[in-house]
Amino acid sequence: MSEIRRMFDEFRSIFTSENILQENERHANIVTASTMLNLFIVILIGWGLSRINMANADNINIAFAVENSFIGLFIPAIICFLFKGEKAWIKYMLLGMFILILVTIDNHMSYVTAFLMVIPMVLSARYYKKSFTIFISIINIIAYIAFSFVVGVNYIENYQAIISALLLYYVVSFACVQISQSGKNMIEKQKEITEKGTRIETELNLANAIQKNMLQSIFPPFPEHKELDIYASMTPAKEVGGDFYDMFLIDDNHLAIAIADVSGKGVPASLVMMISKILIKNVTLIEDEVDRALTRVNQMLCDGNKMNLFITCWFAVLDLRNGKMEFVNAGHNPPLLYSSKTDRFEYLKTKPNMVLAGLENTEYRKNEVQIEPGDRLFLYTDGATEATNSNNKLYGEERLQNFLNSNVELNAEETIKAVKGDIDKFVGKAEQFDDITMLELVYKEYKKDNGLIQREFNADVKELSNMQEFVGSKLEKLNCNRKTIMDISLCIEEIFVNIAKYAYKDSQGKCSLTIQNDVEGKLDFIFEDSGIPFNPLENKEPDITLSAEKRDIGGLGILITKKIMDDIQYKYENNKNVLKITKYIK
Amino acid sequence: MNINKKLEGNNLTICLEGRLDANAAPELEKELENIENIENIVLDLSELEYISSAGLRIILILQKTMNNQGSLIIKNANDEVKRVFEVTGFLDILTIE
Repeated sequence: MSEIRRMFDEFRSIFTSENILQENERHANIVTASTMLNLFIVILIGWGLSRINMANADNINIAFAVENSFIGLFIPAIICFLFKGEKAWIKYMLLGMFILILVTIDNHMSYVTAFLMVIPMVLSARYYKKSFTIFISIINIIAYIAFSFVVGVNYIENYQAIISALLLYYVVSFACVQISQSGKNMIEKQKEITEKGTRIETELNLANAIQKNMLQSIFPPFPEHKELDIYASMTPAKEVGGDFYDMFLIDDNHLAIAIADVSGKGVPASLVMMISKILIKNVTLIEDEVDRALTRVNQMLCDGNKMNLFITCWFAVLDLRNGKMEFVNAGHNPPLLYSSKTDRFEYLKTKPNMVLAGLENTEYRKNEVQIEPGDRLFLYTDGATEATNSNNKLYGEERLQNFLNSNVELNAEETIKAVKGDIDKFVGKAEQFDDITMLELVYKEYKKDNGLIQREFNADVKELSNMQEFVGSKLEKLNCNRKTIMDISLCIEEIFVNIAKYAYKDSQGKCSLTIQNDVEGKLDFIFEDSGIPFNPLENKEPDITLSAEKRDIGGLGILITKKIMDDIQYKYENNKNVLKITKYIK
Repeated sequence: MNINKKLEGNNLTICLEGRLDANAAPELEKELENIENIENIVLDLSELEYISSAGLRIILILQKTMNNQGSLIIKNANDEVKRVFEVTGFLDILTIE
């Protein structure tokens, strides 16, 4: 895929620079055609003036000239305009006709003649093709000499005038050739610069894509955490930005959120942005405490930072079980905190620490705030509050707060999009000069400790002991009595062995077991496999009153499970067999 | 699971120790392969803490065989094991002491 992309970009850059050469010729054609049109008009005016006896046309038969120039100047010019100067033969047609007309209008080898002869040559220089200029110069002089012979110019009598004309002609021709060559050099340079520009633009677009990929863009990011509603967006001012946001789970009970702004914009800021984002996440996953994490990150950033780019950052870790939030403000804009009690967003102002990557050996201090279910946190970068309209007015903190307070019924995604829309409306046609980044977190409720754990096993009887171990460790944590443990263990075996033996026939497959404890005293064991659809509850129970001879050896597993567990449920969902067995424990 | 066999003439005593689950069952099955000449089998379950349907299957086949050949006696099953026998109706098929 990247191979195709590369080839397309190369092709595109060639195409662009070919465009430059074509553009150049097209312009040159238009110039030539316009000049010819101008000359035609001059001749017309001359004819007009001579008709009312105001001008004296010596060697030139004006009426003849008008007719000729209509065919030889006006028509070719119109043809050129019709084709928009885009055909390769147009330049030959134009200059060819031009030379022809000049030759027929004035073919005496005089100074005036020499003056007129120069025009096509000068025009040919505009094409910036040395070969073309030389060609036209030669055609020009040949046309003149040929025609003058036809007309019968006496070369021997006028040899002085002729020679000086030819010398003049040569000098101008030389100059024109040089002009066309320098023009060509200029065009080559332009081609080079354009190709470079296209390449850089392509690379910036790729960089933009890489950066976009780094930021969480799939929402909701943690769908299994129903207690959260979280959304974020980053709009860079250029192709790549220096802002970022991040959200990640440190463990099942702790959510980390961050927003940051690298000083500067464009490529340098974006590189620092990538490094900082990765460092913050990786260090936090090891370091635990927010203040220690940022202290470490700062140290690492200062070590490598010769570019003197610093980063403002606001970073928090929220305990999802109780709403306790610890945060560090590293020189960043204070976020807005919505309290469900007061039904208002207020700025969460704390004494900021130093920015990140500013000073070595900075010790960061954390703050703590207790948030309640229903509370919301709105993080942003100064690209939002300092968004400027064409009257140089800033969007401002007050406007942001008021907007949020007027729109509390929106969810996180709606809020972010609405704020962005409001900023866009405010800024209007003015250019966005800074990256605009926002993140909103809605803490809907305390995280339920449903003690849900899940593991996947190969559907193989040999895995039975692993599964029993998995179940046993969970039952231990719940302090179940021995009988309950034995009962559950037995049913686990019966279900799992059935799946292992029959679900996938002769091929391999997986079976997942989820243990759920969302209600006190109730334990669910959910088996999922993607084998043959089979509802074990459908089969007729074996008749346990039959004698040994008549007894069947099948169906015992399900029978045992039905008798021992408190509930069994089966469904076929998403191409999976889902069997749930439930036990009530004390 | 540990299997202890004691053969006295045509009488076989098998002591099972541990868990008779789907993984241990094939082992027991192997031990019971050549019992054509056995008249009386005693299955001592005093050390057996767990039995699943895999084990029940083997015992059922054994019972069917011994019904034609002699006798099968189950001894010292603990409460949990007895409960499994009861739930599956095996209490009535087996001779339990």
